[in-house]
Order: sequence, then C-alpha cells, then structure tokens
Amino acid sequence: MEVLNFRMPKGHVSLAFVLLILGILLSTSFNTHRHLRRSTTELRKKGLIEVVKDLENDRNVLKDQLQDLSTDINKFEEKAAAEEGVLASFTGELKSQKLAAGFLPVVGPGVAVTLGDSPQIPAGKDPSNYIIHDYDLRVVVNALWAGGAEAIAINNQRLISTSSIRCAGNTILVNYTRLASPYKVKAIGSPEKLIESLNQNYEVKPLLKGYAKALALSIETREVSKHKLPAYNGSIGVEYAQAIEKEN
Amino acid sequence: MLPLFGLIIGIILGLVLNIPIPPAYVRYLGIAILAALDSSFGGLRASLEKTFEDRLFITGFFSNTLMAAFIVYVGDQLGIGELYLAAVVAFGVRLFRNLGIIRRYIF
Repeated sequence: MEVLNFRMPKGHVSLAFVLLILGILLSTSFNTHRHLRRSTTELRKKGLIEVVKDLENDRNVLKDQLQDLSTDINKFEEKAAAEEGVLASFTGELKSQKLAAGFLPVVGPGVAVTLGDSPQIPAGKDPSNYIIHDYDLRVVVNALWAGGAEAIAINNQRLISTSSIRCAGNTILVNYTRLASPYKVKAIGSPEKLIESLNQNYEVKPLLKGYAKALALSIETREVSKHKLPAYNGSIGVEYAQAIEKEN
Repeated sequence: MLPLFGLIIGIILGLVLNIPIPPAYVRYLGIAILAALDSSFGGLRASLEKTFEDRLFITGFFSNTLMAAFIVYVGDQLGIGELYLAAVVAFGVRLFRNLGIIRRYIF
C-alpha cells in the first residue's frame, strides 16, 4: 500500500474502490431495467396469448352457433318448401275446381250453334213461331251437355251450375243478363260427339231439320277447332246449401 | 488509470453477477446511483483541488448513497413520493456544479 500510494496520485485507490461500487450499481441497474422491460413484454405477450386464446374460443363458439343456425335455416327452408308444395297442390286443386265450375276463361275445340229469329214474319201468322225461344236454347244446351260439353256459353254468358235459361218478355235471360237474337251457343268438347249429340237429340233434331227451314230460322251449327269462352262473371251466393262434412 | 479500471471492473462484475433487484426497489437503486455519481465527481473534484481525503470521501460516498435511498424510502412510506424528486434535484444540482468545477480544472 505504501508503494502504491507513493506511485499513485493521492486518493486514487479509494476513488477506484468507489467507482467499482458505482460500476456494480450501474450495471445492476442496467440489468434490472433490461429484465424489467423483457418481463413486461413477456407479461404483455402472455396477456396477448390469453386474448388470442379467448378470441379463438369465442370464434369456435360462434362457428358452432353458425353451424346450428345454418342447419336451422336448412330445416326451415325444407319446411317452407314442403309448405309451398302443399300450397302449390292447393292452388292447383283450386284452379282445376274453378276450371270445372266455370270461373276461368277457357279455350278449346268444340261447336258453335247460332240460332237467330226469322228475319221476316209472314203476315197473319203467329209471330212467336218465328222467333227463338228459351226452350229452344235449353234443348240445344241440354244436348250439348249430353254430348260431353265441358263448357258452354251463350252470347258470352258462361253457364255454371246455377245458370238458368228463361224467358223474360221479349228477351231471354241467362245469368240474369238479357240476351237478344242471334244467340251464339259456344261449347267446348269433342266436336264430333257434340255434333252427334245435337243431331240425335229428339228435341234438337226437329229444330235443326224441320222448323229451321219451315220457319226460316237461321240455325247454323259448325265445328270449331279452337274458340274462347269467358269466365262466369256474376256473383255466387250460396245461402241455404251447406257442405256436409265427411262422416267418420 | 486505477479509478477507470475500478469502474470497468465494477461494471463487468455487475453484469456477471446479475444481482436481481425487485421492481419495487428500482427507484432506490436509481437514487443510490445518482448519489454515488455525485460522490464520485465530488471526489474527483476534491482530488483536483488537492483537498481529497480518503476517509471523508469513503464515508461521504456510503452515507450519501444509503441516505439518499433511505430518504426516498421514507418518503414513499410517508406518502411523499415527491421526496424522490427532491433528492434527484439536489444531487443533480451538485453533480453539475462539481462537473463545472472539474471542467475548469481540466481545461
């Protein structure tokens, strides 16, 4: 020590000692801070890892929910499709019923029978013999039904189940609508069968063959390959008739 | 040369030993370092002024360092965290004054 002290400037030993301790303090502090930084980043990392795991869990739950929901949607869609099928069959049934009942305009082959009053009534003769009467139309229509007509209209008045053809003074009422000569009776069905039915009907035959000529009534029957019949456009009030529910 | 060696060896020792300091005491370590720096510069200045005295320097170093840490500790315990700032300012002022004096001696 004596030698050292002699060679060293005064106090350098203690200064060195103090600086050594200072160095230890400095590097310790440095290390600590570095460690702290790292640990905070590690802590952060840990937190982030947990966040990621949580989010992954959430995502899995949501995925499951999505799957459940899409299966539900599929079920509902199938159900809807089935219901739509039911609805479609109902609609189809309704359409065929309406078609049969005369509530839809129809088109098809058939016959057209035109019945017109005599243009001139000879003097001194009963004029009622020279005009077309409601019963003339009735027999024609009846014959047409008998011939398998599926739809009949007189002067665009479609005949339905409650239609009547009756006389009202000088005119003929069909569906409560006044019709005047000439009466065009259109029927849809097999043209041959309808013609045959008309020609063989014991009430129509004399009308077509005999009276028409004798009384100068203009009665013409012709086959039609395609003609249109309108829908029934009146009201239907079923007041007294009640449907009978099927008995078990 | 010897003081410089001391500093370098100290730094290496500290790095190698890697003494763990709990995060709660980092503040005390910091203020202790500030005090130690102040003492070191004080010593340097004293040696330049030829008024250096071993005993005074060593005791001053340790008492300053420990007392600084202790005062900050007491401040924290009493809820006066600002005591830390007071110590930093006091040591900082002294540090720069010492530095200034040293500079005047060197240049």
